[in-house]
Amino acid sequence: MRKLLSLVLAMLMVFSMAIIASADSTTTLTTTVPAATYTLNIPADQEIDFGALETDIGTVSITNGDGFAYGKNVQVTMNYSDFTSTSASTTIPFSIGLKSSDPTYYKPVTLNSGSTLRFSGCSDGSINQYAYYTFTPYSNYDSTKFEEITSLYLVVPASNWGKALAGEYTATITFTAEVVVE
Amino acid sequence: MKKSIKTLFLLYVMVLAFLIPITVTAQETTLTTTVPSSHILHLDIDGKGMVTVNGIEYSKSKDIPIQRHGEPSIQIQASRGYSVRSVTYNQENITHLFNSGEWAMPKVESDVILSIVFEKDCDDQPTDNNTNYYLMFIKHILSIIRKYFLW
Repeated sequence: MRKLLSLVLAMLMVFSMAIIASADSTTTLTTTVPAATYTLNIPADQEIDFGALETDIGTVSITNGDGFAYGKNVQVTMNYSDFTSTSASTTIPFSIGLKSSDPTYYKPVTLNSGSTLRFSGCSDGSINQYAYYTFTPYSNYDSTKFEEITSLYLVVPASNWGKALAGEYTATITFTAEVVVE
Repeated sequence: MKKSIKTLFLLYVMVLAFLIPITVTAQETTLTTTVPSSHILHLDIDGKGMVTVNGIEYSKSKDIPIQRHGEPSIQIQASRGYSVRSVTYNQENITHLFNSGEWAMPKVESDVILSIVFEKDCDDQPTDNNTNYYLMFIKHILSIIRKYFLW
C-alpha cells in the first residue's frame, strides 16, 4: 500500500512539473490590420454616337484611399463584350484604348477584355488616383513614356459600324477592383 | 433530424457569408448606341441637268433619304447645251464611272455626298479670219446706214 502510494505521488510530481514547464514556453501577440478603403470611380453610362471611330468615355480613378502602403495596390480588371441588340442579329465589336498625352509620338494602346489597371499604393497610406501605363514611341530614337491614364477611348472600326443592322445596341464594361500585394 | 441539420448548415453558411469581409468590388458602365434605319444622300447639283435617283428625277440640290444598306441607282443627264464636267462621291472623283450615264452606288452605310457639275458647252464662233473680216465689214456698213439715214 505504501509502495503504491509513493509511486502515485511520484508520478503526480512528475506530471505537475511538466505542466509548469509547458505553461511558460509561448507568448501570443495579436494585432488588427484595418482593411484598406477606397472609392472606385468609373465612366458614366453613356450614349455612343453612331459611326464614331473613337469616343472618349472617361476614365477609371480611385479617391478617398486609406490604409495602403508601398506595394499594397488596387488592381482593376476590365471585362467587356460586343454591342448587342434585341432587335437585330448583328453585333458591333469594339475595343478600349489608351492614348498618351503626345499621341503623335507615342503609339496608342488597346486594352483587351480581361486587361488590368494597377493603382499603386503610397507609403503615407494613400493611393495614386490614376493608373499608369508605359507608352511605346513610334520612333526608335525616342524613349518610352510612363504616364497616368486620364482617358479611356472606345474604338470602333468603320467596317464594324457598316455591317451592323439598324437597331438599338447595348454593351457593358465591368470594372472589378481588389486590393493586391506585390 | 435531417431537415434540422440542413437548416443549421444553411444558417451557418449565411452567417459566414456576412462575416467574411468583402475585398472585391465590381461596378458596371453601360454603353448604348443606335444604328439608324436610313441615311441621307446629299445631292449637290451645279449647272443644268437632271439626276435620277432610284427612278426619281432631281434638277436641284436635295437631301434624299436612302434605306441603310441600300444600293441606289444613279443616272445623270446634262441639259441641252450642257455637259457633265465632274461627278464626285464623298469627295472622290468618279466621273469616269458615268461613261454609260448610269451608276450603282455602293451599299450605303452612312450619310453620303454626291456632287455633279454640269458646264455650259462653248458657243459656235467663226474661227477663220476671212469670216471675221466679213462680219466686221457688215457691221461697219450698218453703222454708216444708221448714221446717215436714221439720224
